[in-house]
Amino acid sequence: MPQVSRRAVLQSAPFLLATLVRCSNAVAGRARVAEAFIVDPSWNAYRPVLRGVIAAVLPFDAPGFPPITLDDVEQRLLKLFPIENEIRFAGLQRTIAFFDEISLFPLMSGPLLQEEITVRDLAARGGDSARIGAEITATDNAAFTAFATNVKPDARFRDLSTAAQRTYLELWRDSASIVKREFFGSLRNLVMITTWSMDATWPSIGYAGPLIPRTAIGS
Amino acid sequence: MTRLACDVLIIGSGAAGGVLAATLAEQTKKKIIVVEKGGWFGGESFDQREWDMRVLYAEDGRRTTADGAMAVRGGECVGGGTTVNYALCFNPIESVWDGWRRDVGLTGFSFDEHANDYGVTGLNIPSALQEVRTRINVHRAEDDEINDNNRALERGCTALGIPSKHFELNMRGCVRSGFCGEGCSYGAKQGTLVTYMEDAIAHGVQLIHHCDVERIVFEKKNGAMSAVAVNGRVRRTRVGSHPNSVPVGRIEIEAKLIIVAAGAVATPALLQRSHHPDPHRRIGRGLVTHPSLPVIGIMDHAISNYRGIPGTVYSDAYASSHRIYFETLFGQPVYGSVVIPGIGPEHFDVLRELPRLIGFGAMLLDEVDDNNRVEWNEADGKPRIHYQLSDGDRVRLRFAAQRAMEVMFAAGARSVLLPSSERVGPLPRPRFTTAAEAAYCSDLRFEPHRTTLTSAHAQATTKMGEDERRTTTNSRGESRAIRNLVICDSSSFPTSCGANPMLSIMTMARYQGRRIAAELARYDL
Repeated sequence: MPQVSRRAVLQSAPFLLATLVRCSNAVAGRARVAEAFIVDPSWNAYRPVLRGVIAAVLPFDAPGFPPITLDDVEQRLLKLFPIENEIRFAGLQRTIAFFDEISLFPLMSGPLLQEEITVRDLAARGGDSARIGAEITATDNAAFTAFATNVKPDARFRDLSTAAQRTYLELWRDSASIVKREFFGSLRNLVMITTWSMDATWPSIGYAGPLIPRTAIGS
Repeated sequence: MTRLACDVLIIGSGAAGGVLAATLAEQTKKKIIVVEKGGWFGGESFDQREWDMRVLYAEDGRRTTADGAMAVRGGECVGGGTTVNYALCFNPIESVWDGWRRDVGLTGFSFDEHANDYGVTGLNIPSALQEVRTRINVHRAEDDEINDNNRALERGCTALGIPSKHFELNMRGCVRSGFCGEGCSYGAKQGTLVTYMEDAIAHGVQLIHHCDVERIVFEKKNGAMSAVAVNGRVRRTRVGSHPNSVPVGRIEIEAKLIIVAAGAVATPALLQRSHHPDPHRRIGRGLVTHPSLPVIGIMDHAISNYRGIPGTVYSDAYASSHRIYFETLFGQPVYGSVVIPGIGPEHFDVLRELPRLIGFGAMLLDEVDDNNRVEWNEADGKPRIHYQLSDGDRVRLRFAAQRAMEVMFAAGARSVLLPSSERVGPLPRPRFTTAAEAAYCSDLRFEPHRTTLTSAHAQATTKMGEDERRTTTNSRGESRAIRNLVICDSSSFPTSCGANPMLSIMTMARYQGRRIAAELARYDL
């Protein structure tokens, strides 16, 4: 992965939450996180996280679930969204590494708060950014404290059980921070789009599919 | 570098650009070029797969508001939105245009069929509308075209005493495949791709697709700043598209008249990056989007939903009182999987019910708020769409959600859910099993990334009218600051046009095309 400028990242990956790239600065002092952000994470560093997300979003063991495997979904996801090869996904790569460090979940300061302010358009619409930051921190801290009673303090997402991974994802979904909720939604939708655009999944949901063959446009 | 020159350059080939191109080509002998950002994909390319057909949409279907919370769908291909929409037609609403006369001093656009606006024989809205309706074959959906999902909305409304109607559709020979949103593989949807753009090309118009217009060049000419050319870049033609009429690379096109018809997101962004004067900070501001709340019901038995014409039944019973429409629509599995909330078994348990799902949308005619805006962002290399619901719009959406839930149960749904993770009443999420629970919708806040809203009708970002402080163009669509620059698309509307906008845009474009053809000297043509 080549070094890329922040401008290039922001130019290329807003949908995939390049925004959280900015929060890397806020946490770079912590050793493990510094490793994750200052040095580009290798493929091996985020792959287990991505696999955990896929396993949490899709109930592979549910009755009637399509005959596809985690490997099938992972391979297709990386084909549709070439996270490791294309510069536009550099932001997502880093964010996944951040996401893995579960103790960082309640963090809401510095550049991350700045991003929240931007997303809420406070400069144009007004609003007390300090108060909003404090409210988000209080809410997310409380939610995290409840979650953390059942996991080791330095646990990583990749090491959690699937059930705990789902609960952790739901922490992000229910966060008081719009930016964090957006990241949950982006990850979830990457997996959904990847999975349910596979022809092999359609019979399991009673979908008969298109009426004409695939054309060159899909090649 | 490709250098071209023409009399009239039209930027955009959708509901506005396509109609303008054909009208001007038919009624003048001028050299006309149309540039389109997207590709020129024909029906034979449309393969009914959602992922493949993302090429027809702006930002590959991932264009959202700046907070990422609401999709702002728009066609980006030859035909624009008319290639990917659901062919839903509403005539221009006279009371809305009358409101624009009062509020921003709009002139012209007479609804009197005997009027001769601007001294042009027969130029008025009814005549322009009739011409468009005929060309795109607008007709009311017949009884035998209503699938079970649309019947459900009709049945639910009837049970509650809410009037419902059949949509008018611009189709010819529809085979009822259900794949409107993926582009019509059968050429049945009468968008500008298969109507006005074909007419334009038959009359000698040059089409340049895969073309990014970077800026409009303004120069002082005869003492006034005038639009004289555009600079841009032609991208590589993608697989499945017709070949282009110019080579890949830089392009400059000189024109005597430039008409911007790029839609309510791209048009203001182009003006902003061209440094169009904006003394009252109007360009891009006051965006409306028609946010829509999808509502999902689960029936006891399988029905036809993703097959058949997706949208044939709607209700405008609350359009006047609450600015809400109920409109039946149904998507394919990728859309469905994204709209259905949750993860894990909770999500799959709903998705696997696909053959038993009913769905429609509660569409809001949102208020104008100047903070809702499109801003060209140089760093992103694309526009940012800042959008938040007003408090009044939230109140109306709550009402709509509750009423929609009740309609679902009256239609026979055994449970009903919203695409939301918001806590309502005693429930962790808005998933209801009795109609009485619909009252919990009063707790909904429609917060970003908690409740999914979608939109596809961006409008009102480069408003027209005679009030100089509130509009960017006059009623002819002419820029006040730059000569020989006309803006004509959904961005021209001062507010929401009051319904799904395609036919209002096409009628306005037909009207403006006829007017320009009769007033060529005004543009040094």
